[in-house]
Amino acid sequence: MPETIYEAVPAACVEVIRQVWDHLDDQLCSDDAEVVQLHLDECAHCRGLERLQIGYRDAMRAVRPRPVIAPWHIRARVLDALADVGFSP
Amino acid sequence: MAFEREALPWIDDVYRFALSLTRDETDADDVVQDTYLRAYRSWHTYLPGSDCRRWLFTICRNVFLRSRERARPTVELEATDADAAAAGAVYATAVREGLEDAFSRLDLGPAINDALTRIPEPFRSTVIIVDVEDQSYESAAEILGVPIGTVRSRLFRGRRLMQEQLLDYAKDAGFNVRPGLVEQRRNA
Repeated sequence: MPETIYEAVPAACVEVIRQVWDHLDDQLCSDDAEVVQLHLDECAHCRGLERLQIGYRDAMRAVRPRPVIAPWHIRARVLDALADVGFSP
Repeated sequence: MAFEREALPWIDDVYRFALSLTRDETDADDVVQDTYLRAYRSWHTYLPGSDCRRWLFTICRNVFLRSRERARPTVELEATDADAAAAGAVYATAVREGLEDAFSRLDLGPAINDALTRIPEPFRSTVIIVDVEDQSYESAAEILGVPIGTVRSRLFRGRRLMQEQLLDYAKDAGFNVRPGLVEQRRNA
């Protein structure tokens, strides 16, 4: 890592970096999204950073759990515990 | 009975969410049982017709935090310029180390699971809910009981912490020292 975090980041990019996740997650209003996109179109540094975030997002998507079926013993345990407090199916 | 009809069918989702939080099957069993017990006792607070799965996730997350004794109040900060600069520094490090393509080229499955156990609360739960469970910011805010702005700032920092861990993993895996690969990628 750099000695200070600021030395690695051009000052003009800080605001866009702060918003890049909102941009990728569709959380920006259209005006703000346009401003960010214009910067990204012109700034190779921020485009690279955006690519890194997209790579991270895709990697996280790849490990999303497939549908899981709770084991039978969990269902039995839950129903037993609920029965103890008065639940009857 | 309404509880049986509305809450019990979500047990698979609650179990999966509990597994995501605990990363341990035995712990997940306990969390699921406590979640349903608390849900049953609090059933009068459930608003009929609202999102029961989300309501159960909220309880599940609270049970998990209580089990880890991590339900301490935290100071919330908006994503600041310093956070942005830190995120930029992560990217700068990735470039300098030849790791900028690591996330899209490496199998990060085991590293992601490991990284999720290392990042602290409340960032961990937020990353799990949004990035792993694919919930919206709005849904995450409801599950976590915090404003959307807090979800946003936690997510920003949590993702950066995850990326730092994953870049360390990529470096340890030798991704950046493959002969000629860095130059090849830069010239591509």
